[in-house]
Amino acid sequence: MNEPHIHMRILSRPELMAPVRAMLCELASRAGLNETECGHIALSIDEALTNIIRHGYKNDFDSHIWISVWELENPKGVRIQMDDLAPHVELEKLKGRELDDIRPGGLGVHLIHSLMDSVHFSKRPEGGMRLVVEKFHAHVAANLHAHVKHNSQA
Amino acid sequence: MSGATELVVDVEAISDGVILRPKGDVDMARSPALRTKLTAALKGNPARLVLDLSEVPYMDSSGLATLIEALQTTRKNKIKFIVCNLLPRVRSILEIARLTTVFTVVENRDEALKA
Repeated sequence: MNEPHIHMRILSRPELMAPVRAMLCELASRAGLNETECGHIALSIDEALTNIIRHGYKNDFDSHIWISVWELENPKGVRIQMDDLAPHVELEKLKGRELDDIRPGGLGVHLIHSLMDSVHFSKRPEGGMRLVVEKFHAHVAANLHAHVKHNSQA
Repeated sequence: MSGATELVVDVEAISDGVILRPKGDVDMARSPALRTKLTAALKGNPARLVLDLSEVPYMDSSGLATLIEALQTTRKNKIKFIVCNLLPRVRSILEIARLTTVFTVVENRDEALKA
């Protein structure tokens, strides 16, 4: 994979979420995504950060989160990678709750899957978890989803 | 999206209850402030609690969780809980989470006072 266009480390502090999502929104807009798509990216990253801080780091606000961003050219979009040093989580547990089960919490992972075109959680061999998400411009995403659907029906 | 850390919440008494109007993004950093205001308003056991979101351009699942907590308390105490004036991004997250039919959502404040 090429060098990311942005690579930064932030502290696990909730007050940093607003500037991070504003920056990612701006970058996504520059990469050709529309306002709705930028909003989806902002919300997804916000949800991922919330999960890392609350569940991964158990509200320890001085831990580290690394964010890398790639602008994608063909197809147009962005890839965002978020790494932490929180304890490993079994991947099958990283599922959103059923939406019919109305209760506070448990919506974050569901929102990330709903809003992004690809979502991949993994355990980092060196410790911690990794989340890689991608969002493409609308017509590309529609083709991608159609392709996936076609293949799954074949 | 607003960047200030503090969430300002205007509180207005009405004949049968209270209207809360938060101002700014409601995310993990600011949802505790909204929860505090909602809890305080609910302690007064009003007949009606209106949450006017006209000045909330952005909300994440922390904000949704706060709303669901308030909903559960209002249901338990038979309080009318009405949400109004949703901006597009906030309406969108409620729709994605399939919560628009769980809450009483109306277009504006006038409708909220009659609901």
